[in-house]
Amino acid sequence: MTIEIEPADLSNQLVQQVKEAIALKQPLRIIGNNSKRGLPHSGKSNHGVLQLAAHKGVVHYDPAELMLTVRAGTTIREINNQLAEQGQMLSSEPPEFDGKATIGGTLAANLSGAARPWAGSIRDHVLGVRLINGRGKHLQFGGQVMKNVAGFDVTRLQAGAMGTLGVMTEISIRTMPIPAASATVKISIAADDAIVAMNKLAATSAPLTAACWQQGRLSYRFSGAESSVQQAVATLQNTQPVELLAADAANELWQQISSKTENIVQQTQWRFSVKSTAALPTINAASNQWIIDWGGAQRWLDGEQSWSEMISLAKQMQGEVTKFNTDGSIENMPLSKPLESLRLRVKQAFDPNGIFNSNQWRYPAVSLSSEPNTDNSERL
Amino acid sequence: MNPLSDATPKLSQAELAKLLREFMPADSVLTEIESQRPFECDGLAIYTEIPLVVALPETVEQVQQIMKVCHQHHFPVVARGAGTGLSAGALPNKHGVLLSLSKLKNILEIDPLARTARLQPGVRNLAISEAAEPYGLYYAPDPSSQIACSIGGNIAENAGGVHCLKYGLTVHNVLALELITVEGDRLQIGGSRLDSSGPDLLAVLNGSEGLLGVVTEITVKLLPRPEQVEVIMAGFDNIDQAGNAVSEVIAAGIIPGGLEMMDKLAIQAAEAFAHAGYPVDAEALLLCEVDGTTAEIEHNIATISTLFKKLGATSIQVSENADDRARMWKGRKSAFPAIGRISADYYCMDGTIPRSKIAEVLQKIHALATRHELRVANVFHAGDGNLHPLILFDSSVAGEIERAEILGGEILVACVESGGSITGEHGVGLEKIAQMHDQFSTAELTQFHALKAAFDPLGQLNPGKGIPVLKNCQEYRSLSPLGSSHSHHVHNHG
Repeated sequence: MTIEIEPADLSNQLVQQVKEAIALKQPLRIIGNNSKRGLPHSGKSNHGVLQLAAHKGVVHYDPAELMLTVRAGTTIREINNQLAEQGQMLSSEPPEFDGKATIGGTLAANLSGAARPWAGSIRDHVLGVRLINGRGKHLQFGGQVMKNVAGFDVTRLQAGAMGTLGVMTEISIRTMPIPAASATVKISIAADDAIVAMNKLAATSAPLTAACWQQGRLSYRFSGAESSVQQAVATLQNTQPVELLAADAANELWQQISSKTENIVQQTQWRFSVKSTAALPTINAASNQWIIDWGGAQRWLDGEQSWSEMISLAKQMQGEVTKFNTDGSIENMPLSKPLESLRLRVKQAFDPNGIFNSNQWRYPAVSLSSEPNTDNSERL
Repeated sequence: MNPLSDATPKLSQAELAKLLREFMPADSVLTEIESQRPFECDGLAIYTEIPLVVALPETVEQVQQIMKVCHQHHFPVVARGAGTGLSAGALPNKHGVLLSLSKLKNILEIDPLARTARLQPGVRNLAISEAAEPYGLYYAPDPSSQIACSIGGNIAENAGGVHCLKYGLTVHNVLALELITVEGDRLQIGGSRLDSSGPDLLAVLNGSEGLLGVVTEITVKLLPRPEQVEVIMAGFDNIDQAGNAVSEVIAAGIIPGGLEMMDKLAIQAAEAFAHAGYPVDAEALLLCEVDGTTAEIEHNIATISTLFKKLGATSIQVSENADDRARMWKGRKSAFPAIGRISADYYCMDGTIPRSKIAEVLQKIHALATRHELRVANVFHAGDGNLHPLILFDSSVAGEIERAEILGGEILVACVESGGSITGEHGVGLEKIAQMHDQFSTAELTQFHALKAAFDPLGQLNPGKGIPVLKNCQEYRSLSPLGSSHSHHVHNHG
């Protein structure tokens, strides 16, 4: 259950807090509703916390423009509810995390739901941000129009930056109509065959909006005009036995899949972002332990496997792996040396004093190919 | 921080050419004015400049070596694709190397199952869809210059086209880039996966106008061709009605594949040029493309036609086959050359505005044009709010080009004031550098300079473009006083 917070514009206080932190050279940990169970602590005793949860509310919503501007602490659930009244949605289907996930945290972590390969990510739909940078300046990038190539795309740079480049205070995002109809079907199929089948179907004009395999069953969702959804289901039924899910069961299934990291308390999870067609590598565990989402492009494994084994799997699947620990912390696969140094320089360009989420990038003590160990968590 | 202006190149043209010819064929390093002339401007031909040297690398390794030489000796580098850009982004620097990527033009791989294509930067936009055609796939972004423009240039400008509303811009359709840094390092940004951990550097590189690095390989997404595509064409008696019609289509929950508007002058010019069957008496024309399954299209065409009629459309035509569709689009796609036929010169603007402000902004443009005694034709990517006012002028008439430029600047200010942007898809380049101050504060421009410096500490990459120099901000100064200079000649389009 969530505590209701009244919408409020706290941007002046937030700018003030950042300026004080800069003056004191005090690192700040930016948190919304802590739904991602928090970022790792910096280990420095003087770090402060910058709370964004109360900085919330819709600033502007124009359904005919497909455009929404909200304060960063607004929850995804609040947004979904308001958009639904106008028959619209966030088409990247970001996880709600029991009503606690905020739009700011969602963009910072670039979290998307099951529709991601077809409908795009939140990064694809964000149009503009207001950002307090590490010089204490409250800046505006992008805006409320879909096409805007003036200046660098600082807005989308925030996606995945985990708050290391500044405090996002306001986000403008594109909304989309809720599809008129939707149907979810299940098919029994082995994992390797499912990967091929998902990709083949995605290469047709069928209105596919989700495809996920787990425990021997492949689920497809079709969304769009009633007639095209029916046609897509009928086409599948002509070739194989198909189970059609009731609407409630279907919604529950896709929400559960989209909120995969919500349940990491019980077990460590490895998230692989890979080439959608990559064959499953041989592992010690049975292939039924995989969850293969996003039409093959996002795959999950549970358990306490070693980093080196997981990196090897990621490379075999032409992708990368992220570890979600049970304490809520996240570890990323090490980057190549030049890329790591570029990322560091970008961080410094926004936050020269190292104020924001300074301990965010954590890397395991393993090396990437011939690169030396790049554990530099303290530098960032 | 060691800005380029403090480290002006010490080598002569001959010395630089000699260094480059150590690893490139002699005829891939151009030093004679006659051979350099084809590179003096891009699609915005009112700006011209002759570079010190034109380099035409044939391999990625040569690109790396060129960058290393230029970095060591502090030469500016301006990367160039097909030269179809419309903001003088590829205008050469007279003290630097014009790096043409036109010889890197191979399609490296089409992966039909993964629906991706791996490309060298010189591959033409349309060639991607042609290569994907046998698999029922295509590359979505389709700028009007798609026959000629290259994918590398598309990355630099974050190119759009007429289908952005539904299928996005270049940034939405690119999975990975190989980037040669100013130091000559080779970096992989993104991959054949959908997303990567960390700040989205891929997004920053799209639309970075050659200010951050040189792209030598691109992996793009390919989409399945829709089962069917049709176009509805409707004429309206006034711009207001047409603008409302655009909003109503979207409010009805339909996202058309393309949604274009033209005003009377553009309609008449396009019709005279392309014989597309446009209603020449109409004040505004809407072209609405719907795609999907056959059943879906029937449903959407019925809904949209009813809406258009209700909102006062004076004529409605629905395409019945591919030929109809091609004819209807031909007028729109040839709008620029069509304007070129009715005016000695024209100057194309590229502002974006919220859709709801279309009538208001067009009235303002009309008033501004009247004041400057110039005509303006408007073509508009109505679905995504991207306005292309075409200012008609005659450069042989004293003072007209100056008035056209002033009018252009005022139109962009009007776009920003309506809540939009000075450029939707053509880029800032050199052309709109002054208007950057209208859209961004000094603190925001300072942040841009800091971000550029993270990639290019000496300010060698495309100096003088994209981000205006800040007089009171020495820390992030990246423009050389020499580097930003340019001559300003007039060329006829017509």
